[in-house]
Amino acid sequence: MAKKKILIVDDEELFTKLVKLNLEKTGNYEVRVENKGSRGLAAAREFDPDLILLDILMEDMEGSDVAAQLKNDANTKDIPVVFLTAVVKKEEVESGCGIIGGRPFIAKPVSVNELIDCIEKNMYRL
Amino acid sequence: MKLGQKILLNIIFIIAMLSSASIFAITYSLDKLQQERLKTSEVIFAKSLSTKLFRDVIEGKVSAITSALFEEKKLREEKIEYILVFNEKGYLLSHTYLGTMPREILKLHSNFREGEKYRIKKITSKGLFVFDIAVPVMEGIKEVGTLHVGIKGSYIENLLETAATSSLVVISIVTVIAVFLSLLMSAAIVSPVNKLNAALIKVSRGNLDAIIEVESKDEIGELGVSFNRMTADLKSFRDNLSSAQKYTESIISSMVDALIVINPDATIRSVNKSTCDLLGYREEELVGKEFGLIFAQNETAAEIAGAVLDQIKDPALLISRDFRIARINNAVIEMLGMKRKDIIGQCCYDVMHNSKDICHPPLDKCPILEGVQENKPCVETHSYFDEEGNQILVNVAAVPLADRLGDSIHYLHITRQVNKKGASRDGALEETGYLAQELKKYARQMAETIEQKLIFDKTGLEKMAESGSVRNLEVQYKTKNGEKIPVSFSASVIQDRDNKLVGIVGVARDMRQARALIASLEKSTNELRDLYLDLQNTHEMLVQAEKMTAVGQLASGVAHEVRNPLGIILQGVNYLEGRLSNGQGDISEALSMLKESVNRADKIIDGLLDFSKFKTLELKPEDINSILDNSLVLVRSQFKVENIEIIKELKVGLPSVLADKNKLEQVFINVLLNAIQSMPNGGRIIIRSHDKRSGEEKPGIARMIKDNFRAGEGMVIVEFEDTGIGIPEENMKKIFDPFFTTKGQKSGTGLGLSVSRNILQMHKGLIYAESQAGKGTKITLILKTSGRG
Repeated sequence: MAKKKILIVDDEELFTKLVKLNLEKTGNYEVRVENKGSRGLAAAREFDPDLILLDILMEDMEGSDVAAQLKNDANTKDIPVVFLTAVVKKEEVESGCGIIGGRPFIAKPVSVNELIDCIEKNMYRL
Repeated sequence: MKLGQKILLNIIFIIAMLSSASIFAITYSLDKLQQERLKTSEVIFAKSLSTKLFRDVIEGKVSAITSALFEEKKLREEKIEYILVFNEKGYLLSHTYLGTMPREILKLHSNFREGEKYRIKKITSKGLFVFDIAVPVMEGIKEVGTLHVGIKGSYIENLLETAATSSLVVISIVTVIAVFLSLLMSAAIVSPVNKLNAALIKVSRGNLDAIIEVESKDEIGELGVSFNRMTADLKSFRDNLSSAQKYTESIISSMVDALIVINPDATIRSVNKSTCDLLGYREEELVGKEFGLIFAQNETAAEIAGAVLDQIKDPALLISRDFRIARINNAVIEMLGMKRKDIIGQCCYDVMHNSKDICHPPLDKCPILEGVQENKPCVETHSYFDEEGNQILVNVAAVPLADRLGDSIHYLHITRQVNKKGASRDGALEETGYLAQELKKYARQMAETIEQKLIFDKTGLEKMAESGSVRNLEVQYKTKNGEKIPVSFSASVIQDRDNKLVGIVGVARDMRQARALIASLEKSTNELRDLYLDLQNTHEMLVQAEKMTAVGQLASGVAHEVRNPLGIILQGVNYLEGRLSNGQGDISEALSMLKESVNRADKIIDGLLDFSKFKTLELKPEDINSILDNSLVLVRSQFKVENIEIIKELKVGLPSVLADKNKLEQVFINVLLNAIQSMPNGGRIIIRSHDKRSGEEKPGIARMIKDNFRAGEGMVIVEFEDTGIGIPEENMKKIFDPFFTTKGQKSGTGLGLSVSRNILQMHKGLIYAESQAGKGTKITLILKTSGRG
């Protein structure tokens, strides 16, 4: 089976390093890391991932703006996006993976298994 | 006697005087005339005769003399009475008497004085009336005898008569003419006076149009002119007066307010149309009647005193002689938190102090007892302890009231809290002086108001007469068919010049419209006030929410900063886990603990977000029962509740509450979870909702409720009562503190109740807990109704 391509856009370096490590360890994924939100669009166009993990609160750019950019680009508009957020109340959601306002998200901190769960759920959103 | 007659008489008198004077004058002149006449003719005759006869006289030729005398006499028979001749010795030589000579004639002789040429003497005696002319008979210058010629009086008289008659005739004619003229004159004088008189009579009868035609320019004429002027002035004065009177009358009759004039003996003297219309009487049905007839006197002295009570801000009571409460004001109801009907009629010591007996020393002395003894206002300081253990000092004051109030109202009793924190009893006593003064003032006000309102008998009138007037007294008129009309009554006394009471004039203004207006105005004001308070509440809630979002932003920043490292740690732990091989169970355990710690930290962040981050507070009128149901559903779906019996006692038709549904759900869920967690081995939860206070709360709670909710404000109450392990006494104060939890590190963040209280505070509501360790816990929430049903 071909590896799924995951692009993760998040300005927390250590986090993205570990996520890449853990995901690639499963052998199912190829992960590309992008730490700058402003370069997210370019990375997506280059990498053409099957799913993008997008942090909401980034220093240089907000995740929602990146998502808008992606939506506006013909090449990237159909790629499923899952938001990563630290500022959601766990009580309000059933699990770390859910949907708010029609958008799929993952609540940090998240374990690897939950992460994989969520990715698989949203991969075929197309 | 009439003026004309007077004048006539006067004139006649004058004429008579004049006539008499004339007559005297005439007589005198006639006399003179006589004398002249005699002098001129008869004396000359006598003289000539004497000259003729002197020789004879000297020779003593008596017979010659005698014949001469007779001859002369015969010639002048008609005028000569006699002729006599005397010689110088006075011896009668000759005479013409044929018979006896009257004696008077004999005495005639007298000597002439030197120079005297003749002498005329008038002789009137019995039957003899002559003028005797005596001339001396001279021989040269020597007197040789006298010759007397007696001229008949009648002869002279005839002469005189004619003259007299003519002059009398003249005088008479003149007199008649004079009288006639005087008649005319007097008429001329009298007639204008009569005219004046006639005109005055007309004026005196009220006809001021009488005018005198003034013809003459004399004083009477002037009088006429003045008279005309005076009547003209009088007329214009009267016209002014009558128009002024008409003016006043039309004011009085057109007055909307009811006017009444009262006699000193308390009967009605007069009323205007408005009074009759207001009361439904005709004018004649009121005049002369006692004016108590139209006043509704049903306000007893007690009711009047009660009205004064309502003006007092502090809790005030009117107490009877046997210490029963007769009347109270609203402040008392608020202070005691009891219903009016439960207070009236009870003993004051029972209601105020929950005691069976009158307050007595050493601590709380009854001011009424002291007042009875001293018969003046007395103030005492009482104390009690509130549920937090603070000493509350109050001054209680009482004053005996006037006897006129009757037995049912005997004392005025006021309670006032001493306002200084930590005040001592002595400090409280300082304020008692003011309180006593105020009490005296109120007692006096009551007495005065009663005096004023019960004035409407004769003594009352006299009292009012002393003070001079009454202003805006609120009393009630009584109509013919018994209806009572509230009026505002003002009156003044009418006094005569000696300041004696002549009457009282009063005006009554119908107050019904004004009162209705005031009532509706008050209602509008109240509604406006309620609206304003609602608005204020909402505003405050929104401000709170604003603040919360600011804090929330901080919290979200913190959440982000902490959760990122947590995420890294978790990912790292996951990686390490992946690298473990079998037989490294200890490492695996350690990694598990790490994961748990991350979890715990995460939950705290969650709680922090919970605690401080609010999206906009969405306030809507909500039905509490449906929120409760929802929360139950949510709880049931998430947690194990099989061994817990849940009983719902939700009152149907509760008023709606202005609330954020989600937040309240959060609270309910939180409380339910706490309850569930306190009964690990099963139990029962009762959920109640209603809108009435039990009135049985502990004092501290009661005060809290009183502070939060205005009197009469609507509330919805929710209770969660469980049969769990309860909360120990020492923890009760802390349960709403943030981060306080007894659930151990596993299940509790300790933020639930503090967040819940926050939410309730934002809704301007209350949450409190009652518990008994080992028995169970009851959490009560109170929320304000939205006021719109």
